[in-house]
Amino acid sequence: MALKGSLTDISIADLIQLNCQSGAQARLTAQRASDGAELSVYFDGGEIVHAQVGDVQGEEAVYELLLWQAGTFEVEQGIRAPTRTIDVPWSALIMEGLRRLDERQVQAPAAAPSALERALSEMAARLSFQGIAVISRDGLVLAAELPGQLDRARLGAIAAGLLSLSARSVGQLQRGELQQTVIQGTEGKIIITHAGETAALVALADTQLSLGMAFLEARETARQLAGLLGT
Amino acid sequence: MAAPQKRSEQLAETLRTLVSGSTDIQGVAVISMDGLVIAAELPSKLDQARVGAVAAGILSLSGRSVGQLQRGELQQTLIQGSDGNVIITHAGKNAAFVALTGKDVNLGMAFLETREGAQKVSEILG
Repeated sequence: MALKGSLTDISIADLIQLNCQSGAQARLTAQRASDGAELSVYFDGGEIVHAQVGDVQGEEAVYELLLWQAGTFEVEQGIRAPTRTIDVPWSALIMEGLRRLDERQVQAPAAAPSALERALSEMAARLSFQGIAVISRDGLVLAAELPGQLDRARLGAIAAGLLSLSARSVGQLQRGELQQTVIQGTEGKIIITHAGETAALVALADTQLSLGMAFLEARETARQLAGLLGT
Repeated sequence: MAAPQKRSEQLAETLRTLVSGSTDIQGVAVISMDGLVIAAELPSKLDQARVGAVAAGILSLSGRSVGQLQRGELQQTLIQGSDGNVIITHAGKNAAFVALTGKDVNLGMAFLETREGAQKVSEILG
């Protein structure tokens, strides 16, 4: 039995996840609305074994097709891949594809902001902080609302350094697992709080904001972000 | 008249009094900017030299970070862990004051005691 539908109802990433989790042998084909271009992805034993978009085959084809947003698709069971061009776990392919997608959005500032950017922007409007950012543990800035004079990349690098040193220090001084780092300066504060397993919230405050209020808002915001990031 | 107390004794006594009189602070150390311990009153399971080295590292990175993110001059760093806190602040020009607390403490009180401790240490060191 074939499953048919529109890519506006279910995304390519979701279709890949669905087919990989079922573990069945299947072929996903799709036609892009904008130009009629076609793609095919073959699944076997819970992995993507082959993908083709135009002349592009293998991993690059998967990264390309993750960008597709509108079109029709069909999934047919029991169709064997003509060849094997992919040996990477499907989850790694999706992660890398989404990372590239984010990178494209960073490079093209005219593009719509990501859902995370929008959510962060809404949060920032209500919070007493001068700026907030979400960073991954390795210092990549996932989203940021910062005062104009501050550079995103610099903030990410500094915060990641502080995170890693704090985590090591808290262990060496036998204080358990790192939860939060707060640095107070004569002209403001920096608060770094874990937001889920993989990210951290960085908040910048001026001297007017009380430490109690800053902690309260940082904790609430980190919890919301952890929810958004699904960790 | 008793001989004037040595500076090292004064310092040790100040730290001892602070820790024994506090319900929140479990241990304190005074360290030089290059990570050497000047005086300490720490729980026995903690190695003094390690505390000095770790705290100096935090102090140095915090100082740089606060400048680069345009927050003025470093006043205090707090690191919160699931089992307790580390508070580091300057004690005069050439030393830092480190305080360790357990978990679920009155942070406001711990800050106050840390500031007072750092102030006393700064006066003793001159």
